[in-house]
Amino acid sequence: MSILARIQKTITLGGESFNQSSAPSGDGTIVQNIVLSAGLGGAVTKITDDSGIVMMNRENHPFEDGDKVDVWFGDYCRHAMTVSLDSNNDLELTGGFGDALPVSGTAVVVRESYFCSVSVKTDDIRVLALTTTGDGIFYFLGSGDTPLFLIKVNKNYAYDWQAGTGTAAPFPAGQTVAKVLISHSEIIGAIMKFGILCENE
Amino acid sequence: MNTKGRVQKIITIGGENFNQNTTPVGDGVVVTTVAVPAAKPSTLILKSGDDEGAISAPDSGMEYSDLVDIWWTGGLRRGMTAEMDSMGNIAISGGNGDALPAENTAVLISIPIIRKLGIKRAREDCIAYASEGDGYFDLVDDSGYTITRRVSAGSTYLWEEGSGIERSRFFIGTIITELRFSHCDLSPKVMRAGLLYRNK
Repeated sequence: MSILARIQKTITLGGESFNQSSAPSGDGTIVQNIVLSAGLGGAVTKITDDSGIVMMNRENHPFEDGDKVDVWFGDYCRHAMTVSLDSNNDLELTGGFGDALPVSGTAVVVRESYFCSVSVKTDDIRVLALTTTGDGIFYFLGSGDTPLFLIKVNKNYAYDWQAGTGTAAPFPAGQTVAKVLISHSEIIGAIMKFGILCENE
Repeated sequence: MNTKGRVQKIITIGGENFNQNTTPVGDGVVVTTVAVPAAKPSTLILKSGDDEGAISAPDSGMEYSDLVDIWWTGGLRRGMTAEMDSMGNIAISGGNGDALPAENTAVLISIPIIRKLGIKRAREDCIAYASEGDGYFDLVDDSGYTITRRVSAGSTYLWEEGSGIERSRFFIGTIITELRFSHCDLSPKVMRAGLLYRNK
């Protein structure tokens, strides 16, 4: 059964229109609409290396040993760091991927990593659409949480990619997406959505 | 004085909406609409290297130009220097893209349409391209640095500052001097480019 998506763009610059209306088809969709809670503010108080131990001053936080968290600092983020609580209830963070952690004293926003499980071959993706109400990131991971590609999208913008438009795919060929890590840097909650139209070959 | 654009996206997948309604702002805008002539059939009659050879002159009265794009099934080489030789053929060399195909391969020749610009030390705030045919848009600065976008027939390319969506290539403090348009269709196609920018 053919499933249709709809993409309509109305763009005006200098009185000229750059419009597009298309209805790409596939045989499957993956859609997630997630309300992500606010991140918690803190500060790096100790750092041993770029991906080493970090401590964050914060009392009464919800994090527990073994949790995975994203650490935001400005537009940068280190994702999926593993939590170990120290005797002061601060977070000792190790591992993860993404940007190197900042210097000691840098203010950060920490939030629990949110993973959506999916299973789609990159070669089968016909349309990818992303939107968010907070500045955030969509990190597509392969098996074993191997980072495949990421797309940053700012508050109230929509990203879209469609096969056949001439724009190069944002993802590598011949891979299988197993998870999507979704995260934002806001200290208020945000709604983040991703949609995939695929044609299983 | 601010110049505003307007962007509205309505995207639906699986019953979920991925919409956007934004108003990019700059202090200048360049909009160019070009009817790019049809590409002309030809043949690669001599291959003396991956980036050097000769093509037969199209029989349509098309004259050689300084730069041509050569298209063939499965390949494209752009920005080749072209010059009529003593045999009445067109010698081609240089350029960027795929290695030239085997001799006697049928090719299409297109001469890019060039529009001169003079945007000094600009930062692009919004770029929009649209094309009737499968084509390429090149934005070139005074150092020759070129940012190329491919746009398929009926599609639109859009990039906006502030969207968070990263561009792989940027101009940094240079003067944007040219927009080039090229396509491989056998009939003329309209190609449109819009550039909303902020002078820094």
